[in-house]
Amino acid sequence: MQALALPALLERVNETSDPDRELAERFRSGDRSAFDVLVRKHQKGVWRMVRRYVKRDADAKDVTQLVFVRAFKGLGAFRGAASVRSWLYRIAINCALSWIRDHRREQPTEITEDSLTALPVAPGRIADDQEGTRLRAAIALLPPKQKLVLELRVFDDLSFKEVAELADCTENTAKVNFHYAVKKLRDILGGSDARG
Amino acid sequence: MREDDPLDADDRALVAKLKELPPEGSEPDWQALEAAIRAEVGDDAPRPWWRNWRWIVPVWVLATTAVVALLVMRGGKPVEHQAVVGPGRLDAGVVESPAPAAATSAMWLDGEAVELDNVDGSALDELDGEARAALAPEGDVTGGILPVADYGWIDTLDDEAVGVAEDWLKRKRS
Repeated sequence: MQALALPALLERVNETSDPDRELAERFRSGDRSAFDVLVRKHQKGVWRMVRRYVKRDADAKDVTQLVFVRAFKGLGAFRGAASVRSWLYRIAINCALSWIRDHRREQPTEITEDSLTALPVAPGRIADDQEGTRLRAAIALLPPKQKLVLELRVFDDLSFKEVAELADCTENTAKVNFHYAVKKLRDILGGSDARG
Repeated sequence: MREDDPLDADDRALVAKLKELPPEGSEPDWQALEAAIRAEVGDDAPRPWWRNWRWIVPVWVLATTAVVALLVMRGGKPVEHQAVVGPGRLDAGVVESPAPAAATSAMWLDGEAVELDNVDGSALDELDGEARAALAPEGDVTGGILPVADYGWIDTLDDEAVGVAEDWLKRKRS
């Protein structure tokens, strides 16, 4: 087997690890349809991420649209330091936080610790819904960094490398934050169980 | 869950439960969202900013080449700089140099300039005779018309004149 230089080898690894890189390259060379493929592939993930920050469906849709408009404008300058997906998610987080800042007064109130036990239980609501609401309320109580890492890892199924890129920390820090987030979540849920 | 998660069995069970949670909210119509995005961004891929400026490189090269060619064609002569005169002193600062006169030959003679072109040839011969007379042994050479800064005239003297001059110098030393 022919020996490869290290930079060429790393380039190959990067290409294979990011399946969207080719789409980004095609778009940069003027293939507009490559962007449509990226939208189709990632709009669901981006919307879910945005929806975790923005509490109304219609707003989440608007913010998701804004994310892809910004991505369209910036993809030409994207150089592949991160994966296209984590780059998109980074834009999504920024857009969502920016939207929250601009619409602070319109946002629904944050979930407090009391809501863990005082959540309204509508008659006929199935037990799964109650459990889901309880879990989400517990996640909302995590410190921001741990919450972000946990959500990216669990709901968006990102690798720790991608989580680290988005959370602006090292891969090890991301792992530690995830570990503490799960432990704390268990503590919160255990405590609420005890109260309930 | 991936293998590099440092979690025990209970943690993994909790994470599995979290992963089974349905997404928050009601998902939008994905096709409608895609169409909205497409309508917003348009049908043309945006160009990087530098592509709008890529004409500047050939223009810069052309301009540089033109300047270099101009300098070479001028033969590398140094540019004459004119003294900068302040705006209020423009009239006072400019000294108009007189127009160059036609080439003439003149000599200073008895306190006035004499244009040789305008002098009759016989008068010049007369002057020449007077000059030779001034070189006579009895004459006072220092008070005559001999040029003191240019000794090239010595080469034009004939042997007789040189002999006269040497005699005069001997007398002067003694």
